[in-house]
Amino acid sequence: MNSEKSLINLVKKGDKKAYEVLVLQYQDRLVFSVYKFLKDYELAQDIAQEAFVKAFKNIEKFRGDSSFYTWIYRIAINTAKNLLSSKARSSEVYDDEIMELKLSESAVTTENPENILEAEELRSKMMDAIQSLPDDIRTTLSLREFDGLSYEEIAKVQNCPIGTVRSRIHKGREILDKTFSKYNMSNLEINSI
Amino acid sequence: MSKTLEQKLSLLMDGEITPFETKRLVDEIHTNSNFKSLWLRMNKHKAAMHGELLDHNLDLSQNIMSQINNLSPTNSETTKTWLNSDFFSVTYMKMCCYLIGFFFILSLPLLNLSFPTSNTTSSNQNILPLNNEALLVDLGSNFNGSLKDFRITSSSSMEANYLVPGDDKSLRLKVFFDNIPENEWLGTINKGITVHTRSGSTPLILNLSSENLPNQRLIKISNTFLENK
Repeated sequence: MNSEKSLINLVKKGDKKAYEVLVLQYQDRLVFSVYKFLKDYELAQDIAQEAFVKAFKNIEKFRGDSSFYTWIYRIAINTAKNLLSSKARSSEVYDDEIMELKLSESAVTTENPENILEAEELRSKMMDAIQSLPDDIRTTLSLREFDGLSYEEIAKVQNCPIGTVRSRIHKGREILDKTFSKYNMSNLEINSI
Repeated sequence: MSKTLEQKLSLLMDGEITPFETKRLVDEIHTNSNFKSLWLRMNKHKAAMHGELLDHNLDLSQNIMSQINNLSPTNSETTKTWLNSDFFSVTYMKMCCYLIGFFFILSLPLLNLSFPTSNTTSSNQNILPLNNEALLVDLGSNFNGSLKDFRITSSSSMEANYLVPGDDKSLRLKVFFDNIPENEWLGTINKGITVHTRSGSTPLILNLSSENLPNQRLIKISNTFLENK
């Protein structure tokens, strides 16, 4: 079963609702990837937005050789590169190698801007929440999220029915949702003070 | 929100759901705002787990979908028209052509139309025998005439020139098949001798004339056609 392929097929048939599902699924990840290159959060959002629109316009060209995220990531990075090169051209110092260097420097920057700090903080909170999950649920969810195993593979590894895998992963996410919602609420309260 | 549906979102996220259920969930996410919020949060959890969440309040979907909805149909390659849709694929169009042709042939009797056949006769059709020359040679054999040349003069008549042995004179023979209207064949005859005869089962009207044969000789020759009738 490949839900992403099903979603893409729906989009190719003109189902915009299916595309919205994909946008909701990948927007945070894409903004983060573009942000790593550009180190400009506002611009990263604009580029990600443009990439999603471009991808929709060209969805017929998506053959499914790679995942949708890989495809849209390339679109976003090319859009970012075009933006940088046009900026560089306007200042008459454009050089392909310099631009690549600039991009790679920004990607491995040791600076920790505010947004990266927030991402790290959120990650830390999430990891704490995962650690507090019951053992069987935590292991099952980790095999899925960090090891990328399919449900069938997890069922084999854990020697349990596939239905158990489904319910454990769902239960784990349910607990995380509650934890995450609490964190957001406390964050909102701090910000409003 | 139904627990089953919530669990299905989890399955959708992991690509563990059937195409049919995917479509159902897409519709559910679109119509149910709580469901949509849950889908958004679940994906944020995932991004957070991997350290890829910068802002838990970020949601670009509204802007993106608004831009997509404002795209003109020509800009959007996903917009299908009746011309490029699968329904009108080349194969399908071929199939339609075959069917139209098939039903056209079936409807011919109803439309009182038909294709020409060799058995059908009408005033506009050429009813001359296929082997004209053979017929003329056969006619010439009645008077030992040697066929010099011939031409088709209409759809139901022809004209031939013979050399009459012994006399060494030429004879012109006009041949009319019997369906030709009387005024038509009479209009083309202005001299000579005309006889009604037949070749096999085919009725014929023959007109014999000559610039240098006497009428007596023409009468004798014409009689040979009547004798052999």
